[in-house]
Amino acid sequence: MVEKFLEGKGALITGGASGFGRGAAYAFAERGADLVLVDVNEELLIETSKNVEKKTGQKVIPIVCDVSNSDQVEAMAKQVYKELDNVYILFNNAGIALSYGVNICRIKEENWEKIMNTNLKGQWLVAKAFCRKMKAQKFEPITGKMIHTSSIAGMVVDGGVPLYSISKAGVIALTQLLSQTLAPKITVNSIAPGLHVTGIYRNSEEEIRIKIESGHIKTPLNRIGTVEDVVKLLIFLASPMSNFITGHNFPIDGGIAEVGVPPNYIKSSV
Amino acid sequence: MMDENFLEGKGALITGAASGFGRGFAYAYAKRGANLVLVDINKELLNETAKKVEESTGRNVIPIVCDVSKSDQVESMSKQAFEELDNIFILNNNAGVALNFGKDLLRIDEERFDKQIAVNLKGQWLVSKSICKRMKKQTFKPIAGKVIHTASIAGMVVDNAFPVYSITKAGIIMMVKALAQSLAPNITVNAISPGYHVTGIYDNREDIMKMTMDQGHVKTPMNRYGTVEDVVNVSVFLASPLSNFITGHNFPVDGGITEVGVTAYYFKSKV
Repeated sequence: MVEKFLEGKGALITGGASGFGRGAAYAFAERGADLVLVDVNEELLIETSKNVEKKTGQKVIPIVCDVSNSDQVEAMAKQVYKELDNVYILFNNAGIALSYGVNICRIKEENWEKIMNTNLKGQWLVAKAFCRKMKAQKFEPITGKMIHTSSIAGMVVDGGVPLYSISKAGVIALTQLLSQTLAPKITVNSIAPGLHVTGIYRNSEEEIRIKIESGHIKTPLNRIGTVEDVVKLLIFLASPMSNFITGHNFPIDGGIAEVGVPPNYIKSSV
Repeated sequence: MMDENFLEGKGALITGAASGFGRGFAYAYAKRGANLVLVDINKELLNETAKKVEESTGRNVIPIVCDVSKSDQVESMSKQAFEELDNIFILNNNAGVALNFGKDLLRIDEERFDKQIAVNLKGQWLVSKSICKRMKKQTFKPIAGKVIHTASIAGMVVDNAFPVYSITKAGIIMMVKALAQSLAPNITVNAISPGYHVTGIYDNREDIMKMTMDQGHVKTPMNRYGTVEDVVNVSVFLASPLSNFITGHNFPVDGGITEVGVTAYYFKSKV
């Protein structure tokens, strides 16, 4: 039995069309939330919204938006408050990975811009557009909850995706700063997934295995992560159970980053 | 969020269970279906707590008096625990002491140093050692058992009002990582780091806790004192299947003090 602790509450999910965002959409809606799903991929976004709505019976509004573009984020935020009377959960999740395997000294400037603008600036813009109204909401004891998707690549650098690592380390710092300024009204935490079967790996376990092998990764819990693993943590962070936790980064990686072996591409015979 | 009986048919062993967080864990796990062994050194309070938890939840609650710093007592406790319960799915390694408030590390008596290391650090090790070998062989899927240790924010950032306590709690965080590696992938092992919560360490008094926080210039972003329930909420998450893909991590539950607030300090500096 699922407890509907999000009844009467609105949840906004960026990167909501697929991966963790889609997983969160089902989970939050099943617990009673009405949703706005934001994505840059219109076709997939509309399909996902329809599916979530049909399955859960909650209101699910799709809004196409490139989170790296401040005009689009502003317009999106305006539309959101027409559709929902509150945004209790903000899941700042949209992100991309480019230039896989390219050395940091050889990466093109345009890829730097693209990754930083989507992963880091995008989360900042979205948080900025919503935090004032979230803070003014009447819910007790917490007026809203923000969850950012960082990555274990932001905790321990991943030389296979250097710009991604930098952007995600930035997300962890962004989360901490937001948690300070929005306390005590809003809790702000981040989740740091490890290797999970999502679009970043073309939804293929095989791609993940290649990554694990080339990066010499070891996972203590000895399996590949799923979207479900991450969604379970999101449920905790969206629930009142986490009301006294803010500014923390939650690894959800089977132990890779802290007690396993994170990716390395170092050649060393000693 | 996790009110289902996900611990039905499962056993939970909690040390330091007569009061404070341990007592909170006891109610929370029993409400979710677990049968319990409660361990404490304070016999009277332990029996009282065990009886109350049993009455209010209708579960089996077995009290066992044990000093966790003594290996022979831990061995016989664990033997008895496995006689009472047919499994231990949750081990909540929680017993701990804090002595010598406010005393400089270089002035602390050797016997007090030994005592805190023995109870807080060696005690958790001894209990894990005697329980986890059997826990690992249990046939629960996908995880054979879950171990939760009580660390402290004093183990993340040193608290010079409790220097030896800080050392033991830092040790616990490292021990949790070592155990997480050695018990993977069958058992998840994580730590909880409470901040300032009204428990027996402060005589269950908010004013004493407030004094401690004021002396240490502590700032809590969430701007309130912690409760036992705040910590219990995290332990429920860690005992539930929601945390099955997380191991070796230390979970602060402190309203943000350690990572985005101001932790205790007692040095004087004008620059």
